[in-house]
Amino acid sequence: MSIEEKDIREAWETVKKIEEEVGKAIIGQREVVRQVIIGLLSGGHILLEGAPGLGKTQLVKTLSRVLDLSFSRIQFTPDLMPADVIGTNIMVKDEEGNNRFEFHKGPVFSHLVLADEINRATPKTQSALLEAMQEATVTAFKISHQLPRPFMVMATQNPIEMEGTYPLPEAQLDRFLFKIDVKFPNLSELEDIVALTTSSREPDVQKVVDGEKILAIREMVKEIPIAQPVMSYALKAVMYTHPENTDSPDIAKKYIRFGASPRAAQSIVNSARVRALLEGRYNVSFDDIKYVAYPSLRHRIFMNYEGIAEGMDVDDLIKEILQIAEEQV
Amino acid sequence: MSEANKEILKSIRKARDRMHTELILEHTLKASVIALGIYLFLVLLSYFVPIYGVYSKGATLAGCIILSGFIVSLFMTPKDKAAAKVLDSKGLQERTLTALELLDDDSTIATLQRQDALKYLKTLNIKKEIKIKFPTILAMISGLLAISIIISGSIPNPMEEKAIEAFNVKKEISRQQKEVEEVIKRVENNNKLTREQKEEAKAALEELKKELSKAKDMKESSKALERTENKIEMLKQKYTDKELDKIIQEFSKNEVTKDLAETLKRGDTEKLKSDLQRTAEELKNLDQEELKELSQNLSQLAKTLEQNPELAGAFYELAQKMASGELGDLQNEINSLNEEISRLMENQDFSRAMEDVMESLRNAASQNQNQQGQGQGQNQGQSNGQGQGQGQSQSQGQSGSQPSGGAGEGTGQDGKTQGSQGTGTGIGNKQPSEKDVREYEKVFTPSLPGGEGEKSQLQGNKTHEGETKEYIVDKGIGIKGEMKPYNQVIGEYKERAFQSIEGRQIPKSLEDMVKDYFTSLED
Repeated sequence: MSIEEKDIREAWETVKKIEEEVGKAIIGQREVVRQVIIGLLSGGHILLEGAPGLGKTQLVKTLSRVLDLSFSRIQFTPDLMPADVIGTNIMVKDEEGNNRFEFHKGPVFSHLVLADEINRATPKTQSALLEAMQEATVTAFKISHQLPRPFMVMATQNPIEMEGTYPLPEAQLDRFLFKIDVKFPNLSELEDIVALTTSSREPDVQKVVDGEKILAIREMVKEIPIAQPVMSYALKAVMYTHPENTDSPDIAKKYIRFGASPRAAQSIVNSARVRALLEGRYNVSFDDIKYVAYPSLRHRIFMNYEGIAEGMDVDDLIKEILQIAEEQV
Repeated sequence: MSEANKEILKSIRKARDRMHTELILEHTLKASVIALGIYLFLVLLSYFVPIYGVYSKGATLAGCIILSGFIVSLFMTPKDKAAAKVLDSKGLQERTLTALELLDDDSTIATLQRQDALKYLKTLNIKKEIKIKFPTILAMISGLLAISIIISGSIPNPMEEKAIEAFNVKKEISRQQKEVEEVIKRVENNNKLTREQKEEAKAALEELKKELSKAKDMKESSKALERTENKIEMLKQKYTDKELDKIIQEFSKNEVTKDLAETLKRGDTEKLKSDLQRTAEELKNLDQEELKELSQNLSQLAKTLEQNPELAGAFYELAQKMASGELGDLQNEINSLNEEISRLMENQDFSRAMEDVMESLRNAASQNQNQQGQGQGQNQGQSNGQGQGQGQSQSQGQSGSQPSGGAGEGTGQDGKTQGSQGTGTGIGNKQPSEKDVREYEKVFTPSLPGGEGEKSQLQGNKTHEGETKEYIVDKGIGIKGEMKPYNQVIGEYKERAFQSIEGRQIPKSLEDMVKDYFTSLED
């Protein structure tokens, strides 16, 4: 792909605009917004985790307004069936009056899909999203249906109220590019949120980019070079999450049950490129890797009993692993 | 290469050179800390262990280490990649590193990246950002170590004298080893020696070399030299033909044959015949009495050479001619005598070669003594079992430093009186060499007349000429003797002991025990 300087500059400006527009409706949460945009431009899906009322749904809705893309929201509940997500065949009469089956597309057939409280649905329904997220296709009654491009699933889950929930299995979690922790806003942010949401004025959010442009930026991002030591740093960070690896740090050996999959390495490298672009750079830096490593690894590292019992924070683990990996590059 | 690339490389190399300068300083000072640390350690060690020339050695070693550190650091130029990393650590966000990897890439994104990197590199003040840090702590440690070494130089070292002494000993032993090497070469190149003789002599000398290399002081080296001298002497004894000695001794007694004796001593086979001719001519000038006496002496000599019938025959024929006064044509007798004596002289080559070896060893040992400042001893050995007489009773003696052993039983008669009669055992003494100056414990050594360590019957008439020694023994057991340092006799005792046990059926372990005992006495 041939890239011109103006293309890169234009992409950079577009991303900045998206950030600005989303920022109009979402008070604070700048890092969350940025990570969501990185996820979108990397072609991945995002799992947002946070307490209720932190604006997770609002964020996704705002994003869909900023991006000129179709949007659908699925509220996951225990009685939600796979067909409710992907769609189903229904019997219709044709012009000649004959009955025939016609595939009725489910809410997953949108550019942006908000899977709200994904852990409340049964594993069967959760799994209905697996193929959609990985292949961007849906197969119903032996017929595959292509999902629109760009396609992005943003799922939310509440980490506090776990009763009656079905935690996502490892395989499903691995399909998410990032797991973003949505933190409680600080005082000034809370003031702004209250001021904005309790007044009659609506934030004026403009559409700044369409699907084609996003796809073009995704392709462009792949061209951003990454130096060998930087790549090595990313790969080592992933390798060191594996307790069975002899070079892994002691903390990994002590607290980790399963390390990150190769998808984690892909996620880190791809998203680091996007982050470089967002920073206006033509190369990936160690900081980019460090920045994206947390959301990329957070949901891919599974702690053992000792780690859980000691209340080990997975972000602390990642921090230590990154530090050791950096020393060895 | 584009200008941008050149600029990028220039910046990277500028950073690299600064890093290299710092590295050279650091490595050289690290090396100096190590070097001076070792130097100080050696100096301190020299107060407990004798080390010769510790300051000069330490200085050389330290100098070498520091120089090595400096030279090694010269070649430890940091890589461009490392320099790029350092530049990137100054806020360039891996721009330089990526640009370095993309130098050969002509794609748009690579070009843009390089331009971006260059833009940032130009804003970077490399001299300010990459400072050459002088390793002050290392320099201070080096200084402290150097001062400590200088101060230690002013403190008297009680081990200094010992160190010098040990050094001299080492040097001397080394010199001796070289001399032994030379002797081995000479033995090797001596065409007159047989292969077997060479091998035996070389084995003894190689053993000496080994012992010298193990010797810790001059005392041990002297002992080793002494032991080897004994071995060489034994070898000489083994191969020396004693018949020639008998002839030389006999010829030495008479004025007419004295020159002939000298020629034999020198081993000059070419001159032998002419000397014999000349002597034959001179015989004609002797009066009847002298001729008779010489004839008798030659007849007597012929008898002692019974083991070599040809030689004895040649002497006997000459004696007969002289007795009968037929001195006209002695050509046949002279020829046969020349032939037989020449044959004997060939066997003397080994003896002379061994004399040469022994002389060299003695030289080495005497210089050894000089080094020790112990002066020189004198070769004052005298053989035991030495007897001289005239008439029909002749016994062969040994002179010089050669040990000889002998046991004899004999009866001497002078016609009228019954001569002394005795039996006894003679012990071949080992002569003290020049280097033998220390005191050894003295042991009683029986002195007996006799010759070659065999029983001999002394027959004939005793005259009043020549030297005789008479020993009175009680009941045939020799008890006369003298107290001698044991080192003069131990060699013989040891040999006897070894020979004795070889002829007996005793367990091997006991055999070894006896051998070890005597060997330890010799040491």
